[in-house]
Amino acid sequence: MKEQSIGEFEELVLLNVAALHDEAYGVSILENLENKLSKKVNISAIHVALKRLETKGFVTSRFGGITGDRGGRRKKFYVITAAGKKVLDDVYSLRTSLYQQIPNISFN
Amino acid sequence: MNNPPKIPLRFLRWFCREDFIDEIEGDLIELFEMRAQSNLKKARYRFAWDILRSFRWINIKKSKYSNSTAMFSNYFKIGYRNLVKDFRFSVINITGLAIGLSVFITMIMMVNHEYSFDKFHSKADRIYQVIQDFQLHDGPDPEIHTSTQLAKALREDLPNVESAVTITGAASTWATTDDKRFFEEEGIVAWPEFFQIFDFEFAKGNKNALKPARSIVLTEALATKYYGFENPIGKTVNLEYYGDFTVTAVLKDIPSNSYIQFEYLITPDLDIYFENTAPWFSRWFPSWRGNAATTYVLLDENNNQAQFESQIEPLLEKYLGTDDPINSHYLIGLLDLHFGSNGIDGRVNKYVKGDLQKIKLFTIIAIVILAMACFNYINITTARSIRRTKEVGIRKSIGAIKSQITWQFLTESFLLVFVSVLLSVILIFFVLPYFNLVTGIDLRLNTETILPVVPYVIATILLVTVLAGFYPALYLSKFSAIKVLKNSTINSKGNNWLRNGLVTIQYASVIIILAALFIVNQQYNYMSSKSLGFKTDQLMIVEINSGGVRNNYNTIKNELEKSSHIKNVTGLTRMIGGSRSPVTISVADFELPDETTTMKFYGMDSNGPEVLSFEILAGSGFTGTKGLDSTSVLINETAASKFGGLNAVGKWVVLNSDDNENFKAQIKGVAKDFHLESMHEPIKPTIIGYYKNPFMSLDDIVIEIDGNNVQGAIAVVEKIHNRYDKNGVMDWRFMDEMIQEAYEDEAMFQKVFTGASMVSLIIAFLGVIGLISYNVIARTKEFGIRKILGAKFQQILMLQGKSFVWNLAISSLIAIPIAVFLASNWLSNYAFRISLNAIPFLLVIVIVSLITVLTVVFIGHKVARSNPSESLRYE
Repeated sequence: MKEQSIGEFEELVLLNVAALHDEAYGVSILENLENKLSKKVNISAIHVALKRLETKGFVTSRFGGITGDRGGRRKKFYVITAAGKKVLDDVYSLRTSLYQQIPNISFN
Repeated sequence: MNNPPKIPLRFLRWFCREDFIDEIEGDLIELFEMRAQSNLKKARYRFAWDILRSFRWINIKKSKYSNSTAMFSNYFKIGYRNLVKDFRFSVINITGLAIGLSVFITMIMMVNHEYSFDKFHSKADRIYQVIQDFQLHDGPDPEIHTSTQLAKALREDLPNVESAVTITGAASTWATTDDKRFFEEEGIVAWPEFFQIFDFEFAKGNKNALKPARSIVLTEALATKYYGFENPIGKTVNLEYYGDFTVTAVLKDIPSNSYIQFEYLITPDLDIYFENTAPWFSRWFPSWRGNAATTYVLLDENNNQAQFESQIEPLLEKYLGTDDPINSHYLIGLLDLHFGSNGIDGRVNKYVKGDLQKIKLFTIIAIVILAMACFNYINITTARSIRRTKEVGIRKSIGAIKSQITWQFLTESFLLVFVSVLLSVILIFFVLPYFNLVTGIDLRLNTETILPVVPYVIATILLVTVLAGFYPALYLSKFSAIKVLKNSTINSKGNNWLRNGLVTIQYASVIIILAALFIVNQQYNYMSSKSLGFKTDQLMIVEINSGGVRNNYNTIKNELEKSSHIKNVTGLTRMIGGSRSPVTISVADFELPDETTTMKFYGMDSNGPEVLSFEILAGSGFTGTKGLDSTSVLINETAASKFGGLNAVGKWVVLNSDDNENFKAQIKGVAKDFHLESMHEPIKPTIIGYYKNPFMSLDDIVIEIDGNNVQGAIAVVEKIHNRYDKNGVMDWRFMDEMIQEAYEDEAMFQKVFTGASMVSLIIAFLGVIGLISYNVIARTKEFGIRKILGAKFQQILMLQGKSFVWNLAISSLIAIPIAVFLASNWLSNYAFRISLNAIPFLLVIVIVSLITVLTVVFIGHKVARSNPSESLRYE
């Protein structure tokens, strides 16, 4: 199968899904992301990224139970898959290996 | 607790797909509740904004029937199979539509071309041509001619003028380059401001090209003709009349949608030119009184035309003084010149004026022809719909809804129209040269002409798809599945009405177009063959273009008369007939000088009346004695009626032109009326004077040649003429050809209607063929049974043709009054016209009936003749 690629924003969302393990849904991801990035993110952008990650097979989802909050709407929780973890690992190792190639002389 | 705003929420629930709504709505409400704790108003606003941001394709509810792409590809597949399956009907439909569409697309291209004139100049909306009204005693006489001094004064004295330029047509002359010699006719003498105003595209060089003295700017075509692939910049071109010029720039060829047409521009270095003109000309040309040029102005950003026009009279008074009356000057916008310059005399170069009438005529014909092609499609498709009923029934019973069936058949008509458009593009490619020839419009196929038309062509495709496909699609989609599948007959009464109606309209259109052709033809033949009242055969008209020929007229005449090929020679101030108009003067009886009559004036040599074989009713012609003839005049019957008819002979009259000549002459004879101008105009009072007169100088030599050796005669004339003409080029025509030129419009109408008649006949009979062929297939069994029961060959044919005969009869009743009305309207434009009679109309009906009958027999004879046992076995 063709190697699935991943965009920068998608990578951030995927990292959040992994970090918030089992508690990752739209609003929690938004809050976490806005905290870390310290800039505004629109919720619908996160929704779209999650849908894409799901069709690419990097996350799976399940519905939470109905509560009185949220106008009676269920939360949709996302969990990272093995494929998702592998993509994160690949990206991480690629970045690290490139980072280590930076010669020391440049910024002394 | 605070609730989120209702309306955005409702919007979200309306568009969002079911499996996403929990997540999106839930998250949004949770965010809203969190935000509402700090600032409610802001939270509501953010909530609405988030919903708007969630309005994305991915989140949107897809239609219940969301297999639309698959269905559409199925429609195309079925459509294609049907095209191939009923190949014969497809060919009929596609041919008809392709012809109709090519006419229509050509029409769009023509309209686009005609309305694109001069738009390529970036300042076009601020450029104007100065028109001078020479106010004759019989009304306004607007001309494009102004003084050569005007532009400079406008630039310097008027504050709201950004620039102004003088141009004038260059005389036709020989151009000599390195080693080659060409005769060039389409040049312009342009003052240096030319390129500040007009944006002609440069291939080489720039806008300063006309600044150096003795510069010439060539168009690409001319540059290639002179120098091939060499760089022409810096080369010298010698113009025989004007001297040496250096090439400073090359322009891209002048677009055909430019009012100003030329092949080269030269700077106004006219010293050499003036050496060869009459001495008065070189004084007149650069003076304020000399109206030898055309002036264009570029107004400033305020673009105030009225202000300009109010300033021009004081300006002229400043330079011309107030002793003589000053002609009024006004502006016409460059963008209005193409359609608005009718009635304004003068032109700089070859250019065909825009004619709204012509465009309207074309548009109407194109629409009628396209409509006829659409009618064919509607008729054939609805007629054949019976074969598709089962398909519709099955589609419906497995769940198709009505709109899907409609879409299916619209897709099919789209497919057909699309194929037709492709075909029509090929047709246009071949037909365009003929079209250009007929209309005089120069339509070219290149990206600049095609690109602007593309949106209209796409619109046309959609329009035709809907026009032709909508009714059949609606009709087919209405079938009830149960009825159609249970018994395959459907009631098609309403359909028959429509079909007959459309066929009737088609017939009516064909009859009107054909009748128009016959009537235009009759009128044209009438005009071009009716005797003008003087001899027109074997007369050669040589236009006098140089002082050398004019001053030596008598010598030339003597030399010509010596040749055995030449019977007679005379000179005229303006040849009679054709479209060129003579001067107008006022004439009064010497004893009653206040009662003036406006007359057309022609001057001719003593033997003029004889060469042209005027019929002298009273008195005599000229005597041949110069002293006597120069104060003698002849008048025509119409003019004589003002002076007591035939008794006018012997009276003295006073002739006045606009320059107040007060010229006295005696009426020597009365000539029978003859046509001075084309048949469009009634015969006007006319006075014929001697060729040496105060009003107009000699302009044409008329030579009667021996018809047995035309080539020899022409050679003799040319040889003698060229000895006196500096250019060595003779501008000549035969009289009868010149007269035909006055009927160019009629000749064009004739050709247009010939084309239109052929096209509409083809389309209409494609339709008839389609319907009859269908009829034959659908009713094969019926005919078989009829034959068994004793029907004869003719009766079977009658059955097939009956409805067409009825349609034809009804359409004749409709079309003939319309045709008569249009024809009499058109003919009323002519002073001399044919009288309408029944023959052309009868002829048209006979032709149309004959073709219909032949078509019926041709297609129907097989089934009418066939053995019933065969047709009944046919399944």
